[in-house]
Amino acid sequence: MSFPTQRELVTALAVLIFAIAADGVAYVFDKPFLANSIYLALMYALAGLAWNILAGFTGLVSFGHAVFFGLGAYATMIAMLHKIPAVLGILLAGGVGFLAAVLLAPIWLRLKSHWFTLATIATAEILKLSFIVWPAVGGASGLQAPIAEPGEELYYLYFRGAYLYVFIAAVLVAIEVVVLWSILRGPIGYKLQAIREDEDAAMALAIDPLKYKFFALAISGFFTGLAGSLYTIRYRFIDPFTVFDLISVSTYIALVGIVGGIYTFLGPIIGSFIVVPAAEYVRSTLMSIASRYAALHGVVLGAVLLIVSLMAPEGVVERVRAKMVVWSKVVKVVREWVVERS
Amino acid sequence: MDLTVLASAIVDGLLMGLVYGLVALGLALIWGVMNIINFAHGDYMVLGAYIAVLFSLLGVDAVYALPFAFAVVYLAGVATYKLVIRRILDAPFVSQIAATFALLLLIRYGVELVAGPRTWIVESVLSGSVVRVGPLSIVCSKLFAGIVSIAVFVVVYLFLTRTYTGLAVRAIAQNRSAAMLQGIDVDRVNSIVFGLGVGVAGLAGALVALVQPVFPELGGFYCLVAFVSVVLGGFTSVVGSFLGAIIIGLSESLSAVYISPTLKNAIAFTVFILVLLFRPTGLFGRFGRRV
Amino acid sequence: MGGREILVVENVWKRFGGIVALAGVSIEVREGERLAIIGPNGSGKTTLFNVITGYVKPDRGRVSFDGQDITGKKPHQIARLGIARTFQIVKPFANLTVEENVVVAALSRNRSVEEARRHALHVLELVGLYDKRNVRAAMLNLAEKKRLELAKALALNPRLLLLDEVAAGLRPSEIKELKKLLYKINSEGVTIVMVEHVLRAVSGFAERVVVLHHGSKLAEGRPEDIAKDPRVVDAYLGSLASQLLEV
Ligand SMILES: Nc1ncnc2c1ncn2[C@@H]1O[C@H](COP(=O)(O)OP(=O)(O)OP(=O)(O)O)[C@@H](O)[C@H]1O
Ligand SMILES: [Mg+2]
Repeated sequence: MSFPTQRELVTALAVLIFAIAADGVAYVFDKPFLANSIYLALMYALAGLAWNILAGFTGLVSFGHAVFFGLGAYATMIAMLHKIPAVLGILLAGGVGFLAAVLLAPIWLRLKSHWFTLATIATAEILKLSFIVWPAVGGASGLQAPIAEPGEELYYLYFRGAYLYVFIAAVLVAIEVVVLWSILRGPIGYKLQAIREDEDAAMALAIDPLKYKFFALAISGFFTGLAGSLYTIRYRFIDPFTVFDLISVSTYIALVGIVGGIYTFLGPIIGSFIVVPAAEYVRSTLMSIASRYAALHGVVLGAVLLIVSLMAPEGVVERVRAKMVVWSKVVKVVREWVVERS
Repeated sequence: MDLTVLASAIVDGLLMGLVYGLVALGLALIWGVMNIINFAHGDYMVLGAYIAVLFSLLGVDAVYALPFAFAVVYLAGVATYKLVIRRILDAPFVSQIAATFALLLLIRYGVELVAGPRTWIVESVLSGSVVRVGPLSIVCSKLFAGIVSIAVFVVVYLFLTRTYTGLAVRAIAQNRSAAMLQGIDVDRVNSIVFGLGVGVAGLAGALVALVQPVFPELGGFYCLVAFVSVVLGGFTSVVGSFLGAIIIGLSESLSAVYISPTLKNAIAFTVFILVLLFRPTGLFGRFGRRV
Repeated sequence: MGGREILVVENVWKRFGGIVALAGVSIEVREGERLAIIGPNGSGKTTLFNVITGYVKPDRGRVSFDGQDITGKKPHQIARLGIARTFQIVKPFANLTVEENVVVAALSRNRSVEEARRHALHVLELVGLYDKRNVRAAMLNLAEKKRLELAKALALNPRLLLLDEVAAGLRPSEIKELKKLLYKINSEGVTIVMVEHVLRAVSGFAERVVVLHHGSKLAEGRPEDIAKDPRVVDAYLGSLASQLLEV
């Protein structure tokens, strides 16, 4: 039931093409807000898909993916500050995310269920605190990207507005979709899901849980690191409070997966395109009418998470699919009835 | 001189540890009875702290806030149980985490929405006074917080061991379906336990407000401390987690003196991960896996 | 009958807190044999399987498979060596379909999902779950879940098959069918060790019976002799002796 289908692959790529088209429309009609929302949705989709290979397919629920996101963001920033081209900086972010996952695996993977979750939260907090007191990475005041001189725009990926950045993000998500889709359909997808369902039973079938969890974690770290680099190249300024944040990073990444549905491949993408633009819209309107928009934002986020986990724990994608099954049955019955009549 | 520093660090850690113990106790109780990990536990504590803030704003001494903090948070807990927890008791693990995490967001940012992101300092009759014991000077409000914590712990302990409801609570913790067969109203007991668990944390919050500044994100740290204590205490043991909390309080105040006060939080996180790695069954507990 | 020893359990002890689950058990199983282990509740049968398959570490003693010491190896390593087991408390992958459940097992011997699926469907046909292949495993009834356990174990192509109470709860006609299937598998060279509560479930199938009691071996022999052994009758007393021992 939860193996990625052909249709999901097509849908995912269609969403990406649609995102690029919408970005074009935003450019023509000069709608920077729309383009920015699309960009953020792609960034969270990138991280959400990576998160879900752990949560949905392996059963390891992280609320600390800010670890990889933040390290990725810093990796790209530091690369740019060393005059390394931003494209290499993005790759480096993936590498750092991967490395962090490999190094954390011996600790995290000893833990199960909520202990794993708690350890991820604690690790992100430890990293945040360490970066705050570490002068070499700018400490609490953060880092600012170098100003691109005229002619260096491509070198440092420095563009006006979100329009061109959307292309970069869409390409990264497309690569991720294809890679994860083919992995999860193959033997690894079966073994990961077996581990998620019952680790003891999986072991009896000659599956080494540690090996496959390690693999899932490393891939997850890699793509989440990439998502962090997307933050850096677009916003040009980072500090530990922002990129290691429990709410706007770790929770958001989990949220897009949970809203979309963790037992579907497509879930995080759909979830991201529902949650992020809506949240951005709410945030921008709140900012102009309420002085405490940040708190209100947190409350709204909590309400959404609570409603989804109580009313639609299977996520939006499964919901829609179930509805479609019902509808196609209704259509069939009606059609048969009509045929009978004529 | 050195010895005085050591002794006052020990006294300080012990007193804070007792307050941590109240937070941890509720977490362990809820966990043991309902098998629910309440990620929002620290934020219920903060609700209690803000009751104390409210009292001092109204010009009533914050010391009187204690019973109200308990009562209000108890009722909030019962309401939470009826509206949320009851529906996720048998839900998949992800939904359980997501739901209590959502409660965390709602309470934390709800508080911030109402009271603002600022920090509050609560004054009370105890503020500023110290008790001298030999060369040691103990801050009165901390001493008070420690003593109240012990008293509350004893009351909860007696409730669990001496009353019919307490007996029912323990029966459910041991075997939910057997308890149900014996005619125990599990749903009712669950709601009491959830109310009591977070209510005691709320009371601890009012005590915390007497000894340190209050701000909306305060709960995060206390929740972590509670989790570490529960791990140390062997997961679902109420007494064990209370003892675990005292150990955390001590190690924290000692590390603040001998290592660095700014790394206090990082030390609690690190202890947490180390304990999980090397003592996954807790210092005082044991449990086996069944295949 | 005959052949060399494929599994040797030597003087295995296991204690859980105050309970001694295994008190120096030694058992030898010959290649191609059909052995049954019976014993009352809590006599240590499942624990013995858990020790053999690496889920429980023995306090003392040794287990070797095909001449190789496997004590202390991990369950997945032992499974890879060719020992398959079923779980008394069934462990289906609840959210996967029946077919996917068995594909997971078949993947241990096949590289591609396609090959694994072909093998899985063959096994499902053998155990009679082919028609249910697209059903979510959680939806099966207990008897079907037990057959799924068996299918997963078979899909590993094991040399030694450990069955923990697969017959319990089945109707007599189903037990007969199950025995027929196991006969067939055994005749293809797979050694079978079957744990059951009651002698009846293994009679007519097992060549040899070992009786466990309080974690140690009480008796050993042919099924018809075991039923008459006074020590065994004593052990079963109070637990509806006649019914349990009825051959
Ligand atoms: N993981 C464990 N932790 C603690 N005690 C255990 C554990 N596993 C088994 N036991 C105990 O060891 C004893 C032997 O249990 P075991 O499950 O091996 O018996 P069994 O012969 O399979 O019984 P049954 O016929 O009921 O399946 C029992 O008293 C049981 O309670
Ligand atoms: Mg058994």
